[in-house]
Amino acid sequence: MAESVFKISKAKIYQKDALILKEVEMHVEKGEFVYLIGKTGTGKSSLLKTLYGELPLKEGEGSVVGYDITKLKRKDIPQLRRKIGIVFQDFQLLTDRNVYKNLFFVMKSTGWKNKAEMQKKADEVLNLVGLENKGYKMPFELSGGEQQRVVIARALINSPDLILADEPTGNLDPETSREIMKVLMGISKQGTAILMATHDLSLMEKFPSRVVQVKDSEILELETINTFNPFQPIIKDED
Amino acid sequence: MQEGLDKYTRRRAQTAYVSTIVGISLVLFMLGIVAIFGLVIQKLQKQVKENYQIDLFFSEEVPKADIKVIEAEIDQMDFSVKAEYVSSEEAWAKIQNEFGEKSLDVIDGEIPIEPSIAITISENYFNLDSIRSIEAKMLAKYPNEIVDVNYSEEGLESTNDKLFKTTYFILFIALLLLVISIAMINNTIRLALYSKRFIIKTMQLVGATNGFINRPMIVQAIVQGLISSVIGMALLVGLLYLIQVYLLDISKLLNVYLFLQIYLGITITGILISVIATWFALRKFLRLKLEDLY
Repeated sequence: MAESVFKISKAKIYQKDALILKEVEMHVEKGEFVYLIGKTGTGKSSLLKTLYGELPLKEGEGSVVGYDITKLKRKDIPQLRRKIGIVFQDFQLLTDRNVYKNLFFVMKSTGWKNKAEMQKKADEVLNLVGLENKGYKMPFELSGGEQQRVVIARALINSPDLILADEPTGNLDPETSREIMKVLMGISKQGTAILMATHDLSLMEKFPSRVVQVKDSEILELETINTFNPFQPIIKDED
Repeated sequence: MQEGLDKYTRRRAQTAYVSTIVGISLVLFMLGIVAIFGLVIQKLQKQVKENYQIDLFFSEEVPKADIKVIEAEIDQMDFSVKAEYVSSEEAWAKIQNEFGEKSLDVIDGEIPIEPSIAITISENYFNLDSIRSIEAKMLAKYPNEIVDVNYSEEGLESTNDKLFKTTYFILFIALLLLVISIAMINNTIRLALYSKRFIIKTMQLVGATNGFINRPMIVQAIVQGLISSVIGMALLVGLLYLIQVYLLDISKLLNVYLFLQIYLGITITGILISVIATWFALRKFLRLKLEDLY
């Protein structure tokens, strides 16, 4: 039986007092790559925020990388986030330090002490995203795609079981987006589950995988992108 | 474009840091002025209080030697800063000096003023109850020697009233300035940290604990407080130097100990206000949700 990295059932997700999603039933298994699609404002980001503890799960059941998110206390949130990697559309690198220092910051803040091990891990994750020799570059010296790769490398530092990516290719051109997708797919194949919110159907066609749609405050499980035509879109009936 | 933007961001962060230090320095300079003013007034008040005297008049029959013994005893008492024997002749000469030779006549060849001891009272006893209690104590202790105790009740009450009002006025001004200072420093620091809200959120998202995020910023707040207190003190010393050189001689009112007191005071105040304001601002930004950052 496959191992669930996260599982949510009978959940209601609120943004302040507004109900965003109801009766959420969803699970993602180890090493799985799942697209999360839906119109802007349907609650994709709210679902991701709930998974990384930014929004509380007030009703229902939910377990993320071994944490019961219904009982999450403020002090548990950093520990939860160390077991998941978060990748955003806007890169959110620390702009006042170079790539290595961005990675070392995460390591130091998550309990790494040994400098040699830190350097080794930083080189390892940079290698994984194809940014060897870029460690001493400042963020502004990197292209958008390279910055996003650094963010992915940063998300990989603590060998997370799950990566939550909120439109990671949203600001990138098609070619760079495809490069980022290759990196994410490669990571997924190595055993890290990835839940990626996106609007980019062409990427889904190019890199087929399981698709989950957010619609009318509900989560719908769809057939894999292999078996349906993304250009007769799943979101079309919403218009 | 990105590089330009980043340089702009860094320059803005540096400007925020410098303007925070300038803001705190000016506020501490202002507080330093009030502190100097307050300490000088306190010193003047002490001088005024310790100019107040009680005169004990002795019978003509008490020998000078006995009065000198009493003088020595009183000199050792808690309420006394100084006890000084004044003979009839000395008192007479003083009166003649003050009011002119013809002001009083010697009656039957005798000076109409008894010998006395002038007691300078410690500032802690500068109130009517204490003075009356000293009077009673002296009359009880030397019933056969003392014939009269003289002091000015009106002078004491009027001086006390003025000193009381001055003290409370200074305290009020100091408190008001302190509140203004806290509000100004708090605002400056909050604005400076506001520009770091995305960095703070990024730190949280990668799993940093609040303590880990807070620590370097609190250390920075301590450094800001220290640098600001040095600048504030330098401005204060500069101002006092200008007053000394161009306006009036204040050297007798000021000393190294007073400066140390003020420096210590504004350093502690600077660090405390800076750290507390940083802590509160951080608390707020650490609780901000992602969507509230924009």
